[in-house]
Amino acid sequence: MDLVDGASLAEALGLLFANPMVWVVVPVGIVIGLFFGAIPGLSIPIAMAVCLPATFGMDLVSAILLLTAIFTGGAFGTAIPAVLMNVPGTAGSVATCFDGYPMTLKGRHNEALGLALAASATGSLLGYVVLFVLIDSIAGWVLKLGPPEMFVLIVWGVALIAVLSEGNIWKGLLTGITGLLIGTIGVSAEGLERGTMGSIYLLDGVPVVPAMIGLFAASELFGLIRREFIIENADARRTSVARIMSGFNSAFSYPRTLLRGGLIGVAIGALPGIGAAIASLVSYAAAKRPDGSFGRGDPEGVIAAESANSSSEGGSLGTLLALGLPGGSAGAVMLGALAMHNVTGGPRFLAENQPVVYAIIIGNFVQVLALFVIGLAFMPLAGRLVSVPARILVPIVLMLTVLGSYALTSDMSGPVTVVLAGFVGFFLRRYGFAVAPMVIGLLLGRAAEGELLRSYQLAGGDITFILSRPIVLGLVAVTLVFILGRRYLARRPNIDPLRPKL
Amino acid sequence: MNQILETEDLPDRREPAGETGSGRGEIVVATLMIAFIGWYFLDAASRSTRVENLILIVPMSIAAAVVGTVLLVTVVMRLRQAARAGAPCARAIEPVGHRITAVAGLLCLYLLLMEPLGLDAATAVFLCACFAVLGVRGWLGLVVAPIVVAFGIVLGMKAAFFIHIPTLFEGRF
Repeated sequence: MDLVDGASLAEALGLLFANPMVWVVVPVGIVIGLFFGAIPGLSIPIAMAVCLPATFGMDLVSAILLLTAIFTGGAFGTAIPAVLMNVPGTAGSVATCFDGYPMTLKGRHNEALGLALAASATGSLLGYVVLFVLIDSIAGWVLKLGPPEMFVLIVWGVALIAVLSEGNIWKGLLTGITGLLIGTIGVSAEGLERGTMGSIYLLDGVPVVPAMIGLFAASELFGLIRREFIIENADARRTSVARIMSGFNSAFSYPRTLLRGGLIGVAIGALPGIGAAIASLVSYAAAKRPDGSFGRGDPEGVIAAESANSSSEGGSLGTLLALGLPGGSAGAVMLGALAMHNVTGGPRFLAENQPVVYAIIIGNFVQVLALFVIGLAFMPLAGRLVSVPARILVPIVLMLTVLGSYALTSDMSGPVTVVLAGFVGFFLRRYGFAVAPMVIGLLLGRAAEGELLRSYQLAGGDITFILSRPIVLGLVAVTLVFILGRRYLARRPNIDPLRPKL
Repeated sequence: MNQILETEDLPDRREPAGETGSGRGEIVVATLMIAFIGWYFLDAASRSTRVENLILIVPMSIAAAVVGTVLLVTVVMRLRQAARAGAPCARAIEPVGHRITAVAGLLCLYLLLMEPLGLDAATAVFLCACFAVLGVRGWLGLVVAPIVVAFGIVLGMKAAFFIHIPTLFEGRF
């Protein structure tokens, strides 16, 4: 299908301009997404799920644009607590913490927020441009990756974060493997319980988002109790629009990092289930210089992570529209919205509804422009968070994480998971173990097991079949290069081995 | 509260704050992770030893055993070398502190109260107690703010999300 079709494009513009609802839902969706993304404990899928019934009375384009606007606003919104409190709202924001939070500790939170906004919006824009031009190729590329490639990609992601995180590499790998195995707790493919200790709450596995919030947020908040404010220096706490703008503008001094992050994001974001988290890690690893500046508040680290996690949205939307496969919870809600309008994503949808697909993509371009404006207006308000004393901030954020997790699971399993994971995260950090590999492992454990099992079944029981696939071999080689390269750099005396503290 | 603040800076006698404390902590945490993986492997294998059940658990358990052993050997060697040289062998760590312990305890209490009291009342109690422990003073901060914030947020959640949220007055009158 040739997407860049003049007649369909004209029809799409007609659809957009004839429908005032489109221009109302975009800014509303972005504001909703910003708030849900910025509050630890709430999440983008919650915001989308809450707004899903409201899309019932809308036309398809407005409905999808409302949901993608929430996603766009939320994708940037999650960077706010990641930068200001070292609390990523989603797995995609984990890499944003690496340099965003150290910038905040140095009193450079205004610049970090500006950088994150510019990188996020530019990444989104790039993602949609690629989607606009290459939607057919994205679908074909995703279909070429079978279960063996998906499995190795997941292992690659976990190994990558172990290499990038704090502490020695063995600690990172051990927490990553532990996370992968915790992620498989529950009922197995055979229908047998594993590791549930007889609890009905664990039959579906450990609640992943509450565990992630606990491991990151609660453990970080315990650490904050020792301080009066997130930033001790009163002068550095001030919110400055000029400095936000300076950070915003300086993001464009790194066009290569923005472009590379955007392309990595859209390519990996197209993969169902693992997109944004791995995309931002790969982009961060690709941008990382061996001079020790990354992990200490290097602006380029924030740009690499944010441009990739935001552009992954374009790839994810491409897979959803072209194949009908959701990239994650947010994609699943979007699939629900499509179903409410009696639409199923897939090649036939693309072929028969070109103007609608164009309209959705062009509407997303407008969203990005709206994010620039609304995000800049929102930043001074968000920046004031660092001026709230820790004695007020800590209880309120703890409460929000507990209540948010209750909203996610609708029972006590969410709050209990947040608190237990918070204690685990606190002790891991205390003894120099990175929590990020555990989080990524936990998020991807179930998918890793499923892909490995499917590979085994496809090969008729011969697991060595995995090693006959060239993409798999390439990914294994890249993983080994990352691990061995990291160990080599750590041993070189002239290179500071300090890594991001997560 | 003043007492809490005064004692906050004192070293915690139960948790050695010296350099070797961190090294021992690393060993304990790594051993706990390996023990968990071992238990999980045995638990899964006791249900079924079929490939469908153990396809990821077996290779990951082996990998954890290898990685964990290398890690433990590395840490023990570092501790020994440092002991021989009489030098610090690990980063110094701060004691946990009374306020962190108190907030952790309040979080557990919060979980216990959520269903019997309702999310709104339990949240108000948690906020009030947490503010008090962390040094907020005055009836406005300790009473009014927790009640307004807790009831406002929980009622907002009730209105926004289509899930059952237990509250203080629900079904009681």
